[in-house]
Amino acid sequence: MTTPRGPSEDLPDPLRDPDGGIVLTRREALAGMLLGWLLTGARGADAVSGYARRPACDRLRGKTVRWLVGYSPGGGYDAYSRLLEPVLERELEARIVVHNLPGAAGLVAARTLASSAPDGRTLGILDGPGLLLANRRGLAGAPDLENDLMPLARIARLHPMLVTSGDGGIKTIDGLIERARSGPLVAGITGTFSQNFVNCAVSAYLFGLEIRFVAGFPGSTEVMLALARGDVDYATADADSVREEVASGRLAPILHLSRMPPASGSRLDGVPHLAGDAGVATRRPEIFALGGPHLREVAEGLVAFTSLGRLLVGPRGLDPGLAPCIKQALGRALDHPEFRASAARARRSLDTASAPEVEREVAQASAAVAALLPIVEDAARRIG
Amino acid sequence: MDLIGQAAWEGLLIVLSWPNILIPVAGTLLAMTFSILPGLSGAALMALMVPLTYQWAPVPVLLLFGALVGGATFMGSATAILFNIPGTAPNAATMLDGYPLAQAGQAKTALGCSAAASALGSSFGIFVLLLLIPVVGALVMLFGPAENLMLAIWGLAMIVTVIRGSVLKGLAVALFGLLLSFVGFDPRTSELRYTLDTLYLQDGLSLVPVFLGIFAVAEVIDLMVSGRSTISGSTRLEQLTGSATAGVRSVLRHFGLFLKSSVIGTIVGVIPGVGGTAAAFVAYGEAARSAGPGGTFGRGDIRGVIAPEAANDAKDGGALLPALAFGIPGSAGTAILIGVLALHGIRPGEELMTTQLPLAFVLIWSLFLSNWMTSLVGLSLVGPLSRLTVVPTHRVVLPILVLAAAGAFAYQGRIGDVWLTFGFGVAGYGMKRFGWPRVAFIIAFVLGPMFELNLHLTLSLQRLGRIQFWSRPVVIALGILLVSTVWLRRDRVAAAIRYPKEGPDRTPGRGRPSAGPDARGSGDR
Repeated sequence: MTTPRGPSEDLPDPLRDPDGGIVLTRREALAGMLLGWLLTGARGADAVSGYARRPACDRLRGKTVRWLVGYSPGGGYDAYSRLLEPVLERELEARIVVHNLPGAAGLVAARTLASSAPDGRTLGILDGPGLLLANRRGLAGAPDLENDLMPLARIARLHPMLVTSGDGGIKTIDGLIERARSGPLVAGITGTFSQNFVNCAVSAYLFGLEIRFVAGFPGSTEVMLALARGDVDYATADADSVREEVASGRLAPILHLSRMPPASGSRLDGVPHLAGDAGVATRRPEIFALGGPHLREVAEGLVAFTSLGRLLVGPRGLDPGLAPCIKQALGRALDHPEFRASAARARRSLDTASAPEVEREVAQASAAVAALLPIVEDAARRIG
Repeated sequence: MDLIGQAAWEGLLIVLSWPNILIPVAGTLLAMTFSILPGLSGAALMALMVPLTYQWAPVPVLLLFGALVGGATFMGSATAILFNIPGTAPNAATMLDGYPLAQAGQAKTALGCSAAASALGSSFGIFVLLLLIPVVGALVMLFGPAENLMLAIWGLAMIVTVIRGSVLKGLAVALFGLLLSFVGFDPRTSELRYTLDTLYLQDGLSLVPVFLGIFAVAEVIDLMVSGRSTISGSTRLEQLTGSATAGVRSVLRHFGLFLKSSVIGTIVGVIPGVGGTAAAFVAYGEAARSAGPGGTFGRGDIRGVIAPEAANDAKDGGALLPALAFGIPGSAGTAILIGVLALHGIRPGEELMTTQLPLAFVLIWSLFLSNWMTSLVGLSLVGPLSRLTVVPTHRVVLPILVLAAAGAFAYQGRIGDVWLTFGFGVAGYGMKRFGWPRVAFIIAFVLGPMFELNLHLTLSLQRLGRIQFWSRPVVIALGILLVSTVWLRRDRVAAAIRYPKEGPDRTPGRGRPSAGPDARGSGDR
């Protein structure tokens, strides 16, 4: 069910999403809960009475479904949830209460989801790559995406890319490799085992770059400022979040860490991408430090991991009589013109996928993490 | 400049037109009401309102959110002054002298001063915002990890100037505050520290429950134990001294301090990720430093209300600068604001600062209007609010405890925060009772994460040859301030070495206000 993306423009996600720093404290939990209740209290009646009846999950009809978001209101995960909420309410003929449960980089919500009853009354959205990595690292309280949770759909992906300063001398991936020959490169990251760390560490491994990390920037905004000041040589950023900086020339994108470049029509055009048949790993293997199948394996693994995206999930063991119905309702909601129009208005890019496709991707990403983890841990040890 | 003037005029007309004007007025009143509950700041209210405004047009959204940014300030100060409860985290610095003033029967003066400093401080911040629009980019780039580190060290050095009593005890609790601020993820390695294997502690100890406990709950315990009849010690309204007018005049009398504090607030606002709490404490510390040994800070010095209030409100204008120009949030409120603008198709950056500049001014004028409205409404409430300080103790104890518990829970919706509040309440009372300065603990706790994070980054960048620490002008300027801070209070440092148990300020009669609360044992700050 992969669908074309909607508007590709997006703006910086100022509240803490996985790659960002915490700008906002988590006090909005109760506020979000109260507001969700107020909003859905008004809409719930409409949802049940105001629309033509569709095939629905009988056991959820007229009931309240708690929708968990692991981050604060106003951020990306919250925005997607609230855009989806009215349409999903109609599809399920149930009342959706968006419940922000921030904490431990989304782990509080993920753990709550995993331990909730598999009766369809608790669903949510989470950061796929972040949770997968946290679990594989054995972080306390991180549930297993494959065994503790049930992926139901994907709503969007991140589009990570390597970036350098627009005022610096490095404007291409070849330039970066050339510059690394004269001495170690300095990469700016938010924290060890953050997604931007994984991207930098694995890309350095692929290209044989000697790098030093400056770790601990509070968020991706601060990393970009460090890049602009010349404190660091390169970093990774989400293409949607830095479109403005790229357009103004303050940042220079040098490589998309994806199988295909994101939507065109900007200075992102012409920037090479890593994986896939047209990616540099296939077309220009000579610029890599690795060769043969291992090069493809690591490159594809990195992309499989980073592109897992923002997933809609329920607890594992979801009632077999209910799960297909919920998946179908989510699929219809994600394809609904009203939802797509709302997302376009809110400048939220979409990259949706159905449950079978997401389950396949989770399995691929899970295998990829197993291969990437030694590389990442080795890089982390060198920081420590 | 013509373009800016024209855009400012257009923006003002939009704000003042009917029925647009109703939105900032309603937003301000909503924010004022909301901020009575401690822990729920303007940022929390903004987050609450985000989903409600999904379907709105951009102008009403800007009108509302401008008002929400500015409207939550005064009531937070009022509860800080009256009950030692910070309505929002930045108001904690106001408690340090505001509450002693209320205890001395001068709540009206403190509230009037707070309202005036708030309104004038925010106006200063907005004025600077207008002036700096053309150079905001360069200003943001001036502050990197090295500068933030020096700012944090300067703030920590202020501890020497603001504590009373034993300097060694002050330094000990400051170190303890630093230690507790490190609970949670190591910012560099992402390893967990001191979390006792609980999810609850992974994000560290939250500011609001700690503030509520160590000040509000501790004060309630003290009220009960001391047997004091009322907060002010007076039982009749006529016994209260001071007035709102005197408070307003005090801001004008200390106009230099007001300006200095506003400058600190504006600059801290511009720096991403530092926030109003640090701004308020740094301004408070600088006020105490510049007052010298003769100051009565911590025991009811009106300058201790002016400085944090001016800085906290001036910060909003400063934080709007990088937010509107680059989409870089300088505070929690502006972080949400950027998200809201994005939802409505308004992109911070060149377009907003040129062709869409009138829209930016809608936001700025709404903030301005709400800051003044909050203060004017606040001034009109000074009389009724000050009556609360003559209400018998047994009638205020329970409401304050309930308010503190509700605020702690509302902050993040976690019951653990309520227990944390009461735990710190007991600890705070012990610190007060035995002369371990709470302000030293709080300053270190607030500035600890900023210090640690920037220390790591600065050391890494220095080691890699990416910065030369002492060749940066802002670092040098802050270094001079740091040295002067310590030099001016060298007597206290020397006394700490010579008389480790009692610093010189412990000498009876030195630097004490005539109506201060020391006689009641509140000189532990």
